[in-house]
Amino acid sequence: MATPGTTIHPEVEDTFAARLKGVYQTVFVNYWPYWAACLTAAVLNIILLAYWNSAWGVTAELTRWGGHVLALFGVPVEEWLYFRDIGIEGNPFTRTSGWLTVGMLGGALVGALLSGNFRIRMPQQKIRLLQGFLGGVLAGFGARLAMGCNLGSFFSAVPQFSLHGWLFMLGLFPGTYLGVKIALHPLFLGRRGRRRRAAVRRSSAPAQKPLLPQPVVGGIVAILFAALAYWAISVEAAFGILFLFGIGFGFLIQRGRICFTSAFREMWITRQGDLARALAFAMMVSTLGFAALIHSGIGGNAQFAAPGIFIGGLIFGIGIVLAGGCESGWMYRSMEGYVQLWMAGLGTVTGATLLAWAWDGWGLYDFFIAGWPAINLVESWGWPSAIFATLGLLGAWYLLVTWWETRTPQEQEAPIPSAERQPAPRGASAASQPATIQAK
Amino acid sequence: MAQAEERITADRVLDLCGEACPYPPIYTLEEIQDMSSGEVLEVITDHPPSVTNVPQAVVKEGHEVLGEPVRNGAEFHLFFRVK
Repeated sequence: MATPGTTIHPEVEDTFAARLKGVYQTVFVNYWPYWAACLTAAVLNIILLAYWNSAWGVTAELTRWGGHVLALFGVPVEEWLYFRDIGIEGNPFTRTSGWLTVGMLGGALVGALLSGNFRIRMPQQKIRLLQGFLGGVLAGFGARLAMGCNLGSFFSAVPQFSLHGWLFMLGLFPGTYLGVKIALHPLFLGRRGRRRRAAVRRSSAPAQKPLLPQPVVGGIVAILFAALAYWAISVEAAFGILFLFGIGFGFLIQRGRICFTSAFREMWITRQGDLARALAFAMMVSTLGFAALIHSGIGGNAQFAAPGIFIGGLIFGIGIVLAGGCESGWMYRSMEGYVQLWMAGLGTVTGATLLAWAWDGWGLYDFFIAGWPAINLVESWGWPSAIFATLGLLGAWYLLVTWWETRTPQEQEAPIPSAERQPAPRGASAASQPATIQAK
Repeated sequence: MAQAEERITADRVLDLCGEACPYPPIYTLEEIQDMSSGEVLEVITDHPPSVTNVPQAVVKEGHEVLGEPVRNGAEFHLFFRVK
């Protein structure tokens, strides 16, 4: 009898090996459905909060990495107000957050290799590299102004009943909209004539070139990481365990293409709402899980509900669309070999570090944050209102993207308005073809 | 991997390798706009999300998706017929 969920093809013999191969295909090669990856990440996040008393986030750690680099050049970063707040002692391997972040990169790398999806992807237009870096700077700057990125200030914050997560989310809508406007500006879109053009090719059959056995490499890397986790646990249990959480998150974001950028950006471009719905659903699950934990006195970290959080979300939104990835997005894409996203990662660390300096250097703290209270909805509104308001917010987001998706796109700003497309003149195809087709 | 014996012959090939979101669907539609009715466009992408979002965008504009994406390592070949 076939196990539910296992596809048995009639022509494939039902052996143990065939089933293992099927599982490998489903888990390691095929992309996961959005909801499955997001839901698993939500469950992992609940367990992480229970263990670590803090939920999933990465940019505080990335800011510290920038601080470490400056410290190498003798900059007294430990005196900066921002680093006094978030702490910068030791190095990434003497901090649980460091192990978590490194683990995420590792898990994404394993996922990319096992699925045979690693490839150095150099953008055809070099402006993408600059775009990635600048977007990263904006994203890093905005994220830290908002005390967290799409993870710390959104995915982990809204279900923890911190009002700052709501403000950040509100900032993401206009931010990603503006980001799309900039990303689709001719400057970044590139003139068609200057891009690699479509060419005619008589034989469209792709030559099967021998592949590096990426899954084998991925397996070896996975074993190395497992050994590292084993060693780390034996030295300092929390380090190894956070490393494993990081591996899990990294693997999930790669397998599920969990890209918060896409969840918000696609509202303004293709109106695809699948990922946004999956995130809303996963965060509803987190809300209930976090509520149970917070009720038992675990977690419930709230940040200042200040105007700076909204501004930070807006800047972050612009940055992630330009960079082509949010904090989770650039981490897994960079591990898949996207050179543009390496630049985004560098930019993120740069931007976050710049914010850490500007915190008191430009007086951003006094201007945007100081004097505003950290609002935890549970404390302000009580349990029932906090839970139902949070579920309501996420439900509203779910409905909003669905409604938006089904709206007739009559005034939609599609890249090519249908009305402008001329019906192709009959008989023109043969004549026009030689002129319009150029090899690059 | 077994592939369909009959390969589709494309009139044009648009190589989008290295391009990431949000550009592949936009460049694809731009190319299609420049083509004549009935012609076949092959799009090569190494950006996995584009394997779904490019066909979605193309279908939304009323064109036809031909066959399944053909995978060649990290590259995917997608085929469309212009309406």
